[in-house]
Amino acid sequence: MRQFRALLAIVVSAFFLFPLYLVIANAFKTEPEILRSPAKPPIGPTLDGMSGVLSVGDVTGGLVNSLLITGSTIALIMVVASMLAFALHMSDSWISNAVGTVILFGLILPTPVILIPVFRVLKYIGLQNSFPGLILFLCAYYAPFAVLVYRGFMRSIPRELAEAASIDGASLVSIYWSVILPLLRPATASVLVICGVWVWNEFLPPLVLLGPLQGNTVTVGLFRSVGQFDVNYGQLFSYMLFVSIPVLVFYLLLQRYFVRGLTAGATK
Amino acid sequence: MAMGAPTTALFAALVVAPIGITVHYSLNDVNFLRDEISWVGFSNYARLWESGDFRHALYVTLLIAAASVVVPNALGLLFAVLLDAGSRLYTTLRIILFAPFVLSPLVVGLTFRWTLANDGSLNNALEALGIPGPEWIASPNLAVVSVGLALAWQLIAFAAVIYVAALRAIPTDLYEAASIDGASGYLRFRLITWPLVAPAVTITTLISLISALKLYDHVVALTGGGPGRSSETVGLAIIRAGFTQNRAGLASSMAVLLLVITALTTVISLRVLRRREVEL
Repeated sequence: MRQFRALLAIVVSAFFLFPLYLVIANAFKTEPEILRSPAKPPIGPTLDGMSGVLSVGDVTGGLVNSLLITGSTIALIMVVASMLAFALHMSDSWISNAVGTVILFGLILPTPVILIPVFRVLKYIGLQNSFPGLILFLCAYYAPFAVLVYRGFMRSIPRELAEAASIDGASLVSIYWSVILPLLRPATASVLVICGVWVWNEFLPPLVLLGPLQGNTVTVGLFRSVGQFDVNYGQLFSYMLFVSIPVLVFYLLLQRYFVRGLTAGATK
Repeated sequence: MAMGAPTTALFAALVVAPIGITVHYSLNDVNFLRDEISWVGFSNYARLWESGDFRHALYVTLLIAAASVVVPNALGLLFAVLLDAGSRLYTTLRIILFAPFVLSPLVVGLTFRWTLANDGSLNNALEALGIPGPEWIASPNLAVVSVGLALAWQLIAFAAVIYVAALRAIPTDLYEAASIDGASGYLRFRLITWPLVAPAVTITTLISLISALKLYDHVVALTGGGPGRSSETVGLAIIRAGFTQNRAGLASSMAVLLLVITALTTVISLRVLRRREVEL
């Protein structure tokens, strides 16, 4: 019985791993091999696909852009979301209650719904087709989730802690910076890893908000390279591997925080 | 509250204001190329109602949303029960099982396109079993199923991990006490497991619902909305009307409708599901 359960568990997990396996295996196979037997492991692996895609598609540029955009966005989210969560934690006024409620609606907003006007707003403030414009939008879009995680975590921090420090003469900003932020470290880890993965994988906002002239993120670059006559399958799978490696490494290193952050909302 | 002001301003400018602008656009004919905007009342909405293409996109979206609530919850819980054990093997398998959720939907869609192709791995495997494989992506109905499968693959992974976390949090003495009282496996599940994983049901249902209603990336990568427009979702219809056809007014009326549907379904499910949740 125990062996049967283990076997079943392995089969189910293998089934879930299959598409990822396809990407990894075919990134290291030759073109005829991929076409003949896509599911076979790469015996005598080749680096043709990997080196080919680096010379054809603008993968390196895309990786640098995605890294830059993801890094800046999650750093900004960490600051703005924890600040708002702290402000909401410390105040009972009707304004803070209203803000706390309205921001929850951001959690359910589908991106296609607002991208046209977001482009107009960014154009109005002169940030259309630019990295800062995209970063600000993604930060505003994912802030509600981060605020939710931070607020859930702050429930374990007594308000009296901040109040005691303010009696000692510290300003709210310095309390936030020197007392609260260090205490929030586990929540920050969850916010960084989850939003990091989401922002990295984001496709429609960079496609629409960056425009064709600004340089691509990896996801947009991958999309544009599909169906291009000069990109073969080995290169396509290599491209997909380049898009996936950073998130997979990030996830494997920090998977504890990933699950904890996602369940933070569930446990209220 | 002053410390929350910058975030509130950012959210107001780039999320709340755009919602207002979308509603405004939906009541106008908007032409960005000539910078013209003219009031047309509800005629964009009337045009949606008459458009068979849009009604079909709405149907596809709602169908996938319904399937995405049921299938990931059921299979996720099943796999979680299977993987809820202490040894290192199961810990490793749980890490593997969650990996699909962190992958880019674009990558997922492309690998599914490859796997579900006429001579792809799935049909090859079916053929080896003596079953003739269908045309997954080229037939109108199965194209919708294919898109649903790609999304479900990610959502099941997500659900399983959330359920494992919930199962691990249930104290084992509850089960022991129930066993001593003579409760069967089914009764233990009905009376202990199912009520205590209620918060996990809530979060899985909401995430699945929202992911399905905003579905875009999986579809462009897997079917591009085709064949014809048979697997087009509302997300695709919005982007096509707004950017390809330069009809921002019409696209905005679709967007408002999608937003209303998303808000209604999530608020209703949240109410229903929260009522089930019990405090331990």
